[in-house]
Amino acid sequence: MSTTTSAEDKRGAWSPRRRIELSRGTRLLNNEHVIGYLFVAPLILGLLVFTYGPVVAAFGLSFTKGDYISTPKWIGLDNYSALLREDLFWKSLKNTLYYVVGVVPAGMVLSLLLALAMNQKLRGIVVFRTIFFLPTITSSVAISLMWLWIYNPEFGVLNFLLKQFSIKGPAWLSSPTWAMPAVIIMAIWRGLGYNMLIYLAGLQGIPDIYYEAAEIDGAGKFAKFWHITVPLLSPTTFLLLILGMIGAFQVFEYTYVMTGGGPVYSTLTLVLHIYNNAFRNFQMGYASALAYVLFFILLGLTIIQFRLQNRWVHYE
Amino acid sequence: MSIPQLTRRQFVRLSAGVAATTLMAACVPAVAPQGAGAPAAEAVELSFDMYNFDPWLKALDEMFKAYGEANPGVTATVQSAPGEEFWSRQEARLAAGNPSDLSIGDPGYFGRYAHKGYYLDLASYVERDQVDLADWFDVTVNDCRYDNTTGIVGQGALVGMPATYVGLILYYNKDLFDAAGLAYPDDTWTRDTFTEAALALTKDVAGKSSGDADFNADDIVQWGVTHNLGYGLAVHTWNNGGALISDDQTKCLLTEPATVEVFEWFGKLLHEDHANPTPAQLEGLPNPLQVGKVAMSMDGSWNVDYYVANLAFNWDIAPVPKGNKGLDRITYAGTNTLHIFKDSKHLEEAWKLLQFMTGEGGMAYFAKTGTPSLKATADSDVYLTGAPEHRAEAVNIGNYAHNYYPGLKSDQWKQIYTAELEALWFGQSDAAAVLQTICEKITPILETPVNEL
Repeated sequence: MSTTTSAEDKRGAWSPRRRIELSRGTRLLNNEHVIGYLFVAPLILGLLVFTYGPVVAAFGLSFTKGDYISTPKWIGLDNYSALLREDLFWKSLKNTLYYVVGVVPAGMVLSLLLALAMNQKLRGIVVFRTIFFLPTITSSVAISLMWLWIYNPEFGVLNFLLKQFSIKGPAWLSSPTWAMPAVIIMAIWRGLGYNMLIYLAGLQGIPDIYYEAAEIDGAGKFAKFWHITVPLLSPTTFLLLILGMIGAFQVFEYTYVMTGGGPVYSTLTLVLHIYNNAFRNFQMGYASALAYVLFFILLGLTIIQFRLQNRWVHYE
Repeated sequence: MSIPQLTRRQFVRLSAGVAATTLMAACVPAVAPQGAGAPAAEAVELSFDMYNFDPWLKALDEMFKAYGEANPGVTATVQSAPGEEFWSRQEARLAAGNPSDLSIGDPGYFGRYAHKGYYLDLASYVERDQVDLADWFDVTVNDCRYDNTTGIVGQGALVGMPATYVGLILYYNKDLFDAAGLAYPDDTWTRDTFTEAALALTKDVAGKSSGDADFNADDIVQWGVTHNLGYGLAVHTWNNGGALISDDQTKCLLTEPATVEVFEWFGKLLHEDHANPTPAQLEGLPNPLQVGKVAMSMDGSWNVDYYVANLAFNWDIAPVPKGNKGLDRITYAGTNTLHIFKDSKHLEEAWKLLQFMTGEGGMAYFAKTGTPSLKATADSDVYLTGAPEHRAEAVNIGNYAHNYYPGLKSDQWKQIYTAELEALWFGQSDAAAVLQTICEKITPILETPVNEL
């Protein structure tokens, strides 16, 4: 064995200083937090570039005038003041509120009743749950096209059924009075499955002991439903209310495919108005301002709902 | 000897490294291999942007194949996309500075693209090659012009060439006319004659005509006429000496007496005479002429070849009726225009292809899709052979046509005009009130200077 005198040899492979240098780099790669961030980096990058980036860009665009192929011109708050003076903006907002008020409460009540029915321990109940859920996973464009046929005044199923009761059905989608109710009916039908599933999960999370205790106290079915089921389902109801409201405010495909916003603007919704301004009139700045007004409306309503939840949402 | 094993940390590090390397490799642009043989110096590839429309795609494929055989070294291909995606895709490519070499045009986009200077001005090419623009119908050549100062399509610089054109004509069901004992429409018809025939040909379930005592408007089995509402009303208005907007597209003329008169007439035709189905009644009828529910249809000549293939009864076409004031007949015509993008890297080759497409060579293929804008082809057997009997009327419209006010402002004001008119179609308001409302709403758009749009 030779005895070396160089500085490196004196340090040796396992000298304390070399161990520290190796460990600093190695420690980083060994840090599971870093590895975790590396793995989610592509997703975060995608979100920043394709979601949050455009959201921020749209805010900037809302203070400009221009289309996609020319340089936007700064005009300050002109877009916001113009939309407040525009009749069509108020019309589309009114139509959207009509739609929200028509779809959300009725949809939730019907889907709760459906969930109660699907919560039975019956053979084959899963088949029915699947059938009711199918519209949720079907394309909204396909559903809109199907309902165009259902609503057809000459050949449609709905008017045919009404005729059996000697009722002359209207030209649903060509009537300024009936066009929006027609869209609402279709939207409620489509949303039933999803809401039913969420309510089903909520129902199955209610402990049986409450019902047993109520039975001992002599409570009937309605009393159990009203005093146990409904309060304990309130967190689920709150969730569905928030999601339903946000989804309903953003209605687009149904009116785009079925009515184009007519007749006589009766089904022109806010998102369809945004679409028309952006992609038919090429007013990207104005459309961005409209989109942000919608965002602030939804934000405000959601904040109000969260503030009010203490009064009626019961968490176990 | 023990088998080497990967620890969990080594596996994680290895996976991260592989993923990072793959990501970087995907981001690096591919470099074309330097082959031993040098590429052909003269080979040129031209791309033509077209939305999905089967008759055109078929015609273009055959046309480009023929062009390639006659011009070795030049390959023209179609880049197509579904209609809903086509324009946004083209906008994105224009914004990126990477458009195709040529493209079909569209009235809705022509003005914007021409205004932004995306299209090649063809004047110098036309002059250099001594192209005689009188070989094409005037209205179709004018549809390829754009005036940058006024934002109007129809005048100014030549930024495209015409392919096919379409216009409004009068289709009629000869069998229904024969059953009613009425003479077929011809070029002597005025709006009054047209109205009389429409009323006589409107029948209820008991066979009574509109205007007869006990005519049951709730049970109509056949209407006298149906209109393409947008172009139809404009045509009747022009034939009455009126207009929708001024020729310089700065003034709304809908409240002028000659215009109001036509809309009042049409409102009566819809709601009092019941001779034209309302939109509500049409909702149940996919094509009322095809299913024998209307005797006449004032609609576009784009349907001629479809009807040749699909109508199961005797039919023909006639020119649109003149007005009641003895004025010369006017109808609507619009052109499918072809353009070269200024940023194309092969301008000369693109121009040669465009000349072929809009000359006799290419028009022989376009004749299968619509009325050729080139007079020689439109008037030849290539297009005129076949049904209907008066097929030449689809060509003649090129001689008395007016465009439908294309321009930079047209999309905006037409959207309001179309939507507000629904109040008249649904009987919610009378013509004068509706037209007044439309004028109030579109005047600010029409008065906006072009440079502020």
